[in-house]
Amino acid sequence: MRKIVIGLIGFVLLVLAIQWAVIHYLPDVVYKIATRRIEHKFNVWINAGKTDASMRRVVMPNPDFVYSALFYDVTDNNIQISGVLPDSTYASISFYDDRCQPYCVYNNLDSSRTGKFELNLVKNETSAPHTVHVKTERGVVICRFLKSTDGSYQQLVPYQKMLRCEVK
Amino acid sequence: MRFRSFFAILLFCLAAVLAGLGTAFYRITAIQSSPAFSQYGSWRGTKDLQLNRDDLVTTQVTLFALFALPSNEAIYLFASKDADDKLLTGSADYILEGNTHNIKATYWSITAYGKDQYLIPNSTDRYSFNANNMATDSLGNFKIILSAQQKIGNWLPVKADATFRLVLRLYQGDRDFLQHLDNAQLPAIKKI
Repeated sequence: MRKIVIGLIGFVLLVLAIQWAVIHYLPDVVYKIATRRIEHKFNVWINAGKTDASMRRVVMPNPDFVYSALFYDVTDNNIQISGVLPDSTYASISFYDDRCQPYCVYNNLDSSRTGKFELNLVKNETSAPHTVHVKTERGVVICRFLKSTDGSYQQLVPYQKMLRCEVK
Repeated sequence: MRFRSFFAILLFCLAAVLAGLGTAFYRITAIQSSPAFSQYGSWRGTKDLQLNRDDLVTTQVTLFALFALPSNEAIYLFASKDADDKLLTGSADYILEGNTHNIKATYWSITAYGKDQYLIPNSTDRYSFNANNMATDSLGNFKIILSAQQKIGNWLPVKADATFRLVLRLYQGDRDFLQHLDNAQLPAIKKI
């Protein structure tokens, strides 16, 4: 009887441990799969095409947005990202850690009147302006440009092309 | 004897692994009934997404809304059932009624997604409506028809005979509006 009870407790503990591990580590696995998909090309902007039903890289994309993504790596050097946010209702640059979780958002309300932005991604904590203290050495930056009309995707392509990443 | 006990331990571990994976899968996919989300009329979501604070919510969002924005930037509300609490399906038509003035955000949109979480292919390339691209009356009232068959007006195509879900996105929502989201007059989804 005692053996059965100990066995049952062990079984439940093992089930709970596995359940916890799956739930806790899945975001890490998703990030690793994403980096494998981009063939570990860090610090390079990836400009997505028109967001429509053929877009299968990320679930639930917003069809009103044109997306660009950058997998950053500041392990050895800080980086600077720059570009221009289009003059539209909404545009943002969001920063995600190596578990795909957001920790900072820069949007069109923060940018200059011209929409130009230069943001330094640094490892060490700093209060310097235009600086993002990265939460993890590797992560993702996502640019969201809002289409002003249904057919205005082409108007946003130049803004995607203006995105830069410079290793400092 | 030794082989039998080794086999028993192996079976025990295998059963535990399967049970662990199964219960994890069940908890992750039970996102619709998650206590972390509240009901706002036809919509379900949260004003305060517990990313990195609640492991389960973090994983659910990672799998079902990868690279979502934090709650202080955008709120995501989901609808997979109509006003009669029945699953939304392309075998029926629905009307979504609302008023643009009742949705107080810098930018908002309503998008339809298939069961696979991706945009629903359709001949008109129409996947969503927002305040700028939908027809409204002079008071801001709008009606969106959700149907697999072509309709006039604000027609949002869905796939015939398949379930679908809607997402209402609110970017840079008005603080007062978000605080009183429980009482907000969000678009209601009714079967026609």
